Amino acid sequence: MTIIKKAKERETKDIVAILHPLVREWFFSRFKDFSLPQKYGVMNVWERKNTLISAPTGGTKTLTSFLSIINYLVMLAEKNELENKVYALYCSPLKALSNDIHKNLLEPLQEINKLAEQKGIELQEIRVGLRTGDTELKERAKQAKKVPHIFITTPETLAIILTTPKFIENLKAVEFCIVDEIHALDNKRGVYLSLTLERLNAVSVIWPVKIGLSATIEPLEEVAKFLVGEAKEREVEIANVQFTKKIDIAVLTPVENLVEDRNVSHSMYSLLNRLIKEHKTTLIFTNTRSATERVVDNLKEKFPTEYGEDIAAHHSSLFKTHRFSIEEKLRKGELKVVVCSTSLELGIDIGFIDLVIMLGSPKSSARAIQRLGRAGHKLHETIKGRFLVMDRDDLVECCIIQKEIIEHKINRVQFPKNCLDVLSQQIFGMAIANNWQVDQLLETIRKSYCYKDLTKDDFYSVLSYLSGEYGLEDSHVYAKIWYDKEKKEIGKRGKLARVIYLTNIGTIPEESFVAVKLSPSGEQIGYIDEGFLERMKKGDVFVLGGQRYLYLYTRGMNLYVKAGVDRAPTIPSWFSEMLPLSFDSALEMNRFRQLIRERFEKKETEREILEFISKHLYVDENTGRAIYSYFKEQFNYFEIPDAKTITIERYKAEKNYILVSSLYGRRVNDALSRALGYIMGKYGNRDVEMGISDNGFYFAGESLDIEKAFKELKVENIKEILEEAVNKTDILARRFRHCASRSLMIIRNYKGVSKSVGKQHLKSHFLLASVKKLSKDFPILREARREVLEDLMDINNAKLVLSWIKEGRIKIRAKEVHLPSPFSLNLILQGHTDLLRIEDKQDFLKRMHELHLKEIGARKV
Amino acid sequence: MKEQKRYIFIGKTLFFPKEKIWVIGDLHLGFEKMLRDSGLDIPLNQFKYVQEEIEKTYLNIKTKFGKPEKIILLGDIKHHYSFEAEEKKEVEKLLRLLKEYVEEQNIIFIRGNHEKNDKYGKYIDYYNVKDIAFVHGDREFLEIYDKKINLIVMGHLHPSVTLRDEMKVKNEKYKCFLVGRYKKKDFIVVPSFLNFTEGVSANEMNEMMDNNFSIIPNSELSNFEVFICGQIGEESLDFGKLKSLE
Repeated sequence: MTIIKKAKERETKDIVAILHPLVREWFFSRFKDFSLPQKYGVMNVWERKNTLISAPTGGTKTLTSFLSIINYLVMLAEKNELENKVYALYCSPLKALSNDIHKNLLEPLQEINKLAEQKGIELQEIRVGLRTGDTELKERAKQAKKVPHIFITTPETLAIILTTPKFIENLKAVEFCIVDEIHALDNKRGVYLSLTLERLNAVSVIWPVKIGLSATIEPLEEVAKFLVGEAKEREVEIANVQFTKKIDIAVLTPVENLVEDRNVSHSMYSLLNRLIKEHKTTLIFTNTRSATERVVDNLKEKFPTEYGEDIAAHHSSLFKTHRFSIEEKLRKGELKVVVCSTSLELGIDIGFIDLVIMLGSPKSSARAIQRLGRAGHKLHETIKGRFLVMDRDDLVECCIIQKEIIEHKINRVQFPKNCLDVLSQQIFGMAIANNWQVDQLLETIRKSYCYKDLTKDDFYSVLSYLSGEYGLEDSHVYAKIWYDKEKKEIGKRGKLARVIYLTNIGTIPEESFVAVKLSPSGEQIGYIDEGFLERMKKGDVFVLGGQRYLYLYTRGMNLYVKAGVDRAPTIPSWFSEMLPLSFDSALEMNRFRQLIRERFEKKETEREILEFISKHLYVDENTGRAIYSYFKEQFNYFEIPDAKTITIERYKAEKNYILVSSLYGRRVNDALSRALGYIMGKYGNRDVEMGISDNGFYFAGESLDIEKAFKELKVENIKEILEEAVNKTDILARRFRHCASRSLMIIRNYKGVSKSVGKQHLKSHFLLASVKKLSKDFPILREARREVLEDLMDINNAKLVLSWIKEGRIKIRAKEVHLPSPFSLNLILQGHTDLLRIEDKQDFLKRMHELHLKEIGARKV
Repeated sequence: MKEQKRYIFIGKTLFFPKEKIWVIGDLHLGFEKMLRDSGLDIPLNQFKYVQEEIEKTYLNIKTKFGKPEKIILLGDIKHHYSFEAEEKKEVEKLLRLLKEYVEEQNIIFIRGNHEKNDKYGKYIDYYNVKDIAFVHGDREFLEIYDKKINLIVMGHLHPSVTLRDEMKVKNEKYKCFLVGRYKKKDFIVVPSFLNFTEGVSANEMNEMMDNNFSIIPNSELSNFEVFICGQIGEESLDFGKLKSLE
């Protein structure tokens, strides 16, 4: 399989030796020496080795990847040997690439040309072409004639040009292929790109050397395999260049005592205001869109004289033009503070930021580093970041993440594997480009890192779907490919195939948005997510664009609201967009809990333990004391759940509660709790209410035998149980809709008309119900289940936890309590996440009817 | 022997044993076609399920009360306002099916708000039998308030209710009949027959339906009795007045 090596740091003189005199002169007119990433990367590219370069944002990665390519093209241009073909592809998931490309590619080329002119050296023109979904027809036609030597594009557009017969000719001898921002590709977009790259490899007559650029990310070996694919003859080198900048970080609490002080919120805004005033430009991350709005709202309200035009909210529900104007203002330095959800974590140069504030835990060290990287964009400046915490769980979490950053422990990412929806779309695209022998098709697909273990069954089920075999009962189903089983060959079907493919390509799920309009004028204010609307009811007050609105009514895909509301927002935090704590950070927290617990058990003095906390977490004494007292309360009340212990508390209030403290992050807890809840619900044939957080989960219901459920749940049966448990959930329905859209079952753009999924008024439930009638094993339905279990939840690490329980590494300790312990109080307070539907709809009806009759009877007496 | 009821709920339909009249609510044939035109590339087999359910309901009526003599469709038989070819096919298929049960002249098509444009020439605005008037329910006609009329049967509202459990966590929606009195007449609102959507819950009715939406204002509906549709062969379930479910 693919061989992985470490790249070596090269000497400046060796790099200088390969540079064309013009390139050399240009480079040293701009820079004193090569940067660290360049010392690792430039020679590698020149020697045509596949290379993955991982370095923090604000580095010099982009130029690292381009320098050798520019050098090579200048040499050819001088010899008049440049051909009419694409030499280098540059592919980035970000659409707004122009700034970066301008600085790192166009400017250098212009300046080198100018140098050449001055010296009377004649150079052929080196053409750079940009192609995204927005590129106009005229420009595309031009590119087809005068082929750009360096071709800048996105993963989706690359797939499109690989489907265009004329353009494929120009791509057959691509020599370099740069993939930027790989760290943003641990999702279906990445899976999609990995197949697109294999399609490129398949049409190429020579190997296109792969150059991957990534921010701080782990595990680099897997990312490297993602870049070059999995095959015997492939090799890749990794250049891991870490922060050379100084980092100044700290965890801040707005009040001395997070438990007793009732003014946490007020004090937090005062602290925020102070920090903002002390710095030139501050960027605040809040994790959720709703929180983004709330913070802007509150800052404006509490400090009406401080903030006017120079404060802005930035998140993905805002109009695109609005977002761009905020980014532009930021670059021009016209903003004092920008509050964003996660939308400014990636890419685009956002100008000078001297302070990054994270409100609430960023939930993983890689994410935290990414956010910190937005500060001090020049290479040698110090990076300044502050965590602001609101409760004690948050405090511990942020301290642990800070420790991980300081000690360079980066949480690992996983690329989704064997996604059948993405596969469907790609096979459709491949069939449009040319006919394929089925065996050869499978072989090409399996070279992608994300499909190396694709089973034949899965592969053939996708062919069946695409060739219309599942739609036997109804001739309406439009088969997308033909599949000749005797000749073992596939190809495109129908005149519209290409058009449908080109207009519906991509993997970003189409969330339907609901337009928010003022009543009665109908003036449009903005959009909210359909999922957000589902959580609201009439009379709720919510915040959008910094303003409060009252929910009046909905009509079609419009939400009518009243503006100028004085009431406080009523809409609760938004579970669906909550970031999950990374499994690695969770384990780190469990280790810390264990260390503290052992010290309590050994009866160490408070002083000793405080010293340990300060040293272990790099925090001051006040912070250490807050953590100490939190742990001490828990220790005295019950037990500290830790790396070796999961605790269960049985608590009786208006309902029967089971509180499980299992600190493994909400993705793992989601899997564990749904499986356990489903087992318990089955015993009692009743629904089970449940709440899930990063630190644990709770159940409420009538008969709950949690110990029995823990005994029954095993590594071997969790998948089967979960598939049953999610079968009726809204989550599955919603994910299914996304998968159906990616696999082109729902065609967003059809016969020239673009319709958003939401506009059709169709609920994903219809879709799901009808597909379930077709077949339980319909590939796209299986994909939706896989997505829920593996991407949304984390069934693999849940299995790991179950295996630890089985081996006795984790003990389960249960107790009846009068009040929830300090650690599990937040579990209840956050409210329910979902209801596991066990009871049949008709049974529920009859039960409700009996209750109703009793009530009517009682009233009559 | 118990006195025979004037009318009986059978599944989602209504039957008058004495008059042998079978009433079917809004069908919205062609809904599926609308979904397909908006790019939904999977079979929903709407007509197949409609047909199955009509057949089952018919058999149930036949065994219990003997063959119906008249079938009344309460309007909105088709979904599109204009006439689509596909729909025409489906309406014809429906007609063929119903003709197996009663003679063609005994199939009554009431005009719904989706049938403004009537190339077919079959639709009528209302239909009176003895003291019963059948209408769609979007528009009023003097004739249905005639002195001799005691009972008005309508569709149009697609009534359904949402039931909540004690924990206030679980919500389930069910199609239902609404029975009550308004303008000195008895009213029965028949649920939609369409099996895709459960409609707007009557106990969660919001401004989406203004008071002009149907001939009965919202405020009056809250005094109507709710009967949730039973499975075919099972009885409908009385849930008392709509306002008690609010």
